[in-house]
Amino acid sequence: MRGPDVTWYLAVAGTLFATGALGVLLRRSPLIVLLSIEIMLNGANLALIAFARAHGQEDGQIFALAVMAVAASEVVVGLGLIVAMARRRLDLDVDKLTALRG
Amino acid sequence: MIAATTPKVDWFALAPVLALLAASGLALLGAVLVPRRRAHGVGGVFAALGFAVAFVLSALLYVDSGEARNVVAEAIARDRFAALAQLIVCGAGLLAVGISWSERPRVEEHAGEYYALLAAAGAGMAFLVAANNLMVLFLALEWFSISLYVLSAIRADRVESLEAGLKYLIVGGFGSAALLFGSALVYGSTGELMFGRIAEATRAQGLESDPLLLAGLAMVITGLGFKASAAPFHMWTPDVYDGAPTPVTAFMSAATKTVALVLAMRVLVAAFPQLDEFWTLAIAAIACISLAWGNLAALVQRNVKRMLAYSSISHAGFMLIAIAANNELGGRALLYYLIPYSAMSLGAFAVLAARERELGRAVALDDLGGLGWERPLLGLSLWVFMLGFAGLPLTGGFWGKFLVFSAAVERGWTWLVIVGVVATAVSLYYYLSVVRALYMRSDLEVRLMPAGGSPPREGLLQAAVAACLAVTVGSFFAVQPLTDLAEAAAKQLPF
Amino acid sequence: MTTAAWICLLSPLAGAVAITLLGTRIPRREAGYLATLSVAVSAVAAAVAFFAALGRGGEEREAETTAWTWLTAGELDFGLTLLVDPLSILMMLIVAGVGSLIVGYSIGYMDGDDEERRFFVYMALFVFSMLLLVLAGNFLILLAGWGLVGLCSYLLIGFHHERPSAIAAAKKAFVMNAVGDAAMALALFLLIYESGTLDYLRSFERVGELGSTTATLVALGLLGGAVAKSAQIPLHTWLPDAMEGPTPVSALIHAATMVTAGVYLIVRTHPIFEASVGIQELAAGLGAITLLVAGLIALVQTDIKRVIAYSTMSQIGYMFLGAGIGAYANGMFHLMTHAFFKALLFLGAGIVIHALVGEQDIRKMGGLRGLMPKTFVAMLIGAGALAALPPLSGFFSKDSILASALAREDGFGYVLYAVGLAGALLTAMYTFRMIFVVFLGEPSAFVREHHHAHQGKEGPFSMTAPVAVLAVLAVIGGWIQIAGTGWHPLADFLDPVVAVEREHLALVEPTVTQDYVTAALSVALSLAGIALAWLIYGARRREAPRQPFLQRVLERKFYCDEAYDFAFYRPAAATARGWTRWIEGPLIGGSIAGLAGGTRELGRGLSEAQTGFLRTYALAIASGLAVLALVFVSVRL
Repeated sequence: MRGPDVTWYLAVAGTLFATGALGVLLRRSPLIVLLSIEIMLNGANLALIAFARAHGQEDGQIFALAVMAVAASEVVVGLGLIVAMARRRLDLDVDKLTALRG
Repeated sequence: MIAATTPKVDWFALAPVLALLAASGLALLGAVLVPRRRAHGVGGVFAALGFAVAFVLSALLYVDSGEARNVVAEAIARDRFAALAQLIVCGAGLLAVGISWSERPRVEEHAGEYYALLAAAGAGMAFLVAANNLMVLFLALEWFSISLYVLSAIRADRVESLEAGLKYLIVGGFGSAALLFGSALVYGSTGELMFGRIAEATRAQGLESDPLLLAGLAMVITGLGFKASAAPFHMWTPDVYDGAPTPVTAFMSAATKTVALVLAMRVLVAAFPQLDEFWTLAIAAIACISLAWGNLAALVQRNVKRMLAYSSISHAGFMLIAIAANNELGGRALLYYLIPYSAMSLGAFAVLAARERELGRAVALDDLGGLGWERPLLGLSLWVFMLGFAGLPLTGGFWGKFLVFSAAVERGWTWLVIVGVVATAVSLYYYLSVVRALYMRSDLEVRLMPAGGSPPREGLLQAAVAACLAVTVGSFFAVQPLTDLAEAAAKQLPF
Repeated sequence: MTTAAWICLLSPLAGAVAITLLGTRIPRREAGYLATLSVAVSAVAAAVAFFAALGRGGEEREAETTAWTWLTAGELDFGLTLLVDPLSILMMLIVAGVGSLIVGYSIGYMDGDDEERRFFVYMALFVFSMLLLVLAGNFLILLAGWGLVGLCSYLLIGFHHERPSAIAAAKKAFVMNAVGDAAMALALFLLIYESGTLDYLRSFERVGELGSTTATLVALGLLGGAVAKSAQIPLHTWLPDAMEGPTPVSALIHAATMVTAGVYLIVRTHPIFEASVGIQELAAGLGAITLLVAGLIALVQTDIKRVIAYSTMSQIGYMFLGAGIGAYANGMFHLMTHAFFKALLFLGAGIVIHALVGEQDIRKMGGLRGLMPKTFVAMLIGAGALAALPPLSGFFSKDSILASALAREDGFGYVLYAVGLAGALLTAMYTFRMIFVVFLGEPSAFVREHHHAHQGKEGPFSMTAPVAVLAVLAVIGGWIQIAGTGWHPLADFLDPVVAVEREHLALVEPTVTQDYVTAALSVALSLAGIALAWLIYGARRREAPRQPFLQRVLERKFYCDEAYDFAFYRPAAATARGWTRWIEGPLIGGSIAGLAGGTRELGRGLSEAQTGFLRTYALAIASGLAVLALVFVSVRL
């Protein structure tokens, strides 16, 4: 196999995943939060593709392709919700979403 | 020249899913082609038909799947375990359509989409329980989850509905990402996606202590625990149940929980038998946390919908005990438990939906005052559902708890039974407070209640509640045939 | 045969469910028709089962039918099993037959009541429960039916829930029955534990393997249940109070069917009783005491329904006596005729009460003969049958029991015989006292003021027709078995069930002479009793004998209520108060309150953790995941 060892890919994938997770935990704009979730999914995708290469199979790559489609639809729904909120002139801040609690 | 070979597709195994997909498509077409005032009827009828046909097909599938086997390039498990779960999902879907029907004036604007999404969510769930590899698992999970995100937020005119939708989406996306990364790690460690082959590879390559595999397992458990709303991955549940339109909540609470738990059992048992020391203990711990957290938090709720949401968390705890037992009796217990549980859950939320519509606001405990006298069927049913949740005899909830506890005893985990019994005792308190509220009414309240004529006739909703009541009580009396069904299904898992 | 039994069982249930579900969609009267129809279907099905059984040979008349096996737990399995045999067929006929007449009667009786639907639902439910009890094929179903009839009885006694006395009576009945149910449940647990089965047939087969101590304990527990349900001494005080319920309820539940369930139980489980030591004799003795005591108390009662209620206790005493000495067929025979004439008496009394706008005190009645001649005839037939005058039904059945006691030919038998004969005298006296006081003489002021005819008739058709049918049955019901003539088809019919262990018993077949002697003696005593009653109450030639002490004792019903109050209630209440004050207050109360408070605090804390902040939720997931992953990996490393 040419290129770096699979461990490096895994490290990058893990970093991406952690970055995304921290984004969800720390950012307050729903747009950025959605973006962070995408980063988490992409981290997983990278891991899948790297492992597929390492194992010499195509299963993981197909998986990654499917995940991209899913991620896209999830984002579409998320953006739709954010637009609906913006239309109702609600603050675009996840910390203001506290009508439901307790 | 590459010879493209496509796998042989067993259409019959996919039939319930396809029926629901078709129903979803037709309902969506109806939303576009039919004048808006008819869209509700057309959508509802297609969705109901879809669930009914899928129900029949799953029943046929159950009968026909005496031998478990993997079909469609081994991506789909065709067995009774899946078929029985599909039966529960389709039944829940059918009843959910009945409950939703009375929401007519409120979802008028999106009626077609509403029913299309309901059918689509059902299709995704039916697909999920038959999943036999990690990719199908993830796809099916996202399939029904995305449908449910939209359903939760479908009442875009209500801030709560939007909030519930967005919270569910973001926290759900977070959980799914964890599940996906976990799947990637498992794949990286074993090189396999198929559940059975993961187990084989683990055994063949001696991967029992591979950190990659273990971290992957932890992440998979997290993702599934999220969907089953088990503590501490449950925190979205009360908010989403509270904010979503009540019929959607009813469907989610019954069907989502069913598929998440059934699939969790399949994955853990089929893919990670060598790691059972890890996951049985982890699941048992999660079960205990869920029982404690769900019951304790339910104690102080005044809003009945939230109280039921917490109660559903504690029930996830009960059913996780069955999974943690990791034996055939546990499988039987889980599948049996789900039948009365789904009925009780759907029924209870349906009654709340009716009351909510009457009052025009969220139902607090005190708002149930007098319901037992004003609407005897609904009052009586809610009474029975509460007793069923508490696990008292004459309801299926009793045998459900009994079987779950027997499974734990067979595993040798008596301490888990003790936790369960204590949790049941605590839960009695808030379930009975609902019963008390139903039949008591202070004089003050009588004066405050508007004298608004007779309550609305909601034929389909009442029929759905009556059906739930029949299942709840019937499953107590028909426990043997039902456990026989569950046993035949549980036998096909490689315990 | 089994299909008919299932239809018989389920039809009243279907009726009850249908009325509940239809709710206000049908008029109240239709609810009554529906209930009557459902019970009538049952009666027809019972008749079909009966004729199907007649068409078969002796051994084939017994059939077990299992709807489904409920739960299999190791060796033990219990299902919804019915046992259809001559005994249960006889009970089916009585319950469904008399039941349909009484439910039909209620249409007229309850007309205009605010909650007719509830009444008919309970009635239909009761018939279902009673049929479940008699058709049960194993002890579990029996227990279910046993509990359900108790529940229905409780609901119906307390039907007029606005009357505190009705509620109190319902509670009393429930508590007394609970004592019996507990005894019975304990007996059944013991039986399961020892024999490993709940099926009647299987457990009877294994009765021989049980030790005699076990058999005795089981029989004792069963007897406890039977005594409570059948209002025998010492668990009898609830029955007179139960007359708070509407009259059709008294007729159906507290005369014709439920209270005789104890007799049925003894007959059904007679192999266990026979294997026990002394329990059968105990049953016979209790029956004898009850029949005497109840007969005495009935002499001084002034409430028409209470008079009949005490006579019910007394007659069930006869049945216990019969069942206790092994004369099962005779006991069942009396059970059947009693169902006819006692239902007749109650329904007749109901017509009287109805015509007098709810008045039940016989001292205010009088001279009703001229106003209600047909009712008078019906009541007279009932009273005659109760006093065992030939050729009315009670004569044949009661005498056969007494003759069996005589045929025992030992000291105990003679005592029972003497008590039974004394009871016959008392029965005639109190029965005809009631008849004379209510119907003869000049109409009292109260009657003249309050009596009102129903559209010129004595009652609506729905009320008079069942009374007429029952009157006919009370006359001819006894002719199916005439002691001393060799004509005993009922005993033959029951033979496969009750004769299994007959050789063990000392007695059972009275000689022809014994039969005739008994008949002559008891008729003579009955006539004497009637004559006495006539002298005192009918012709009023004698002053009623004044025995202030005796009278007070009888009016206070031998101070049973007071004794129980003193012996059980007060110590229990005092103990409970003591516990509350000295133990629960300082020790448990404090800690429970602390525990409950702590739990709620905890709940509130958890609820506050639900901040509504989405990021908190994600954090919970992330930390859960981190803990899981770290533990997994670190444990392995």
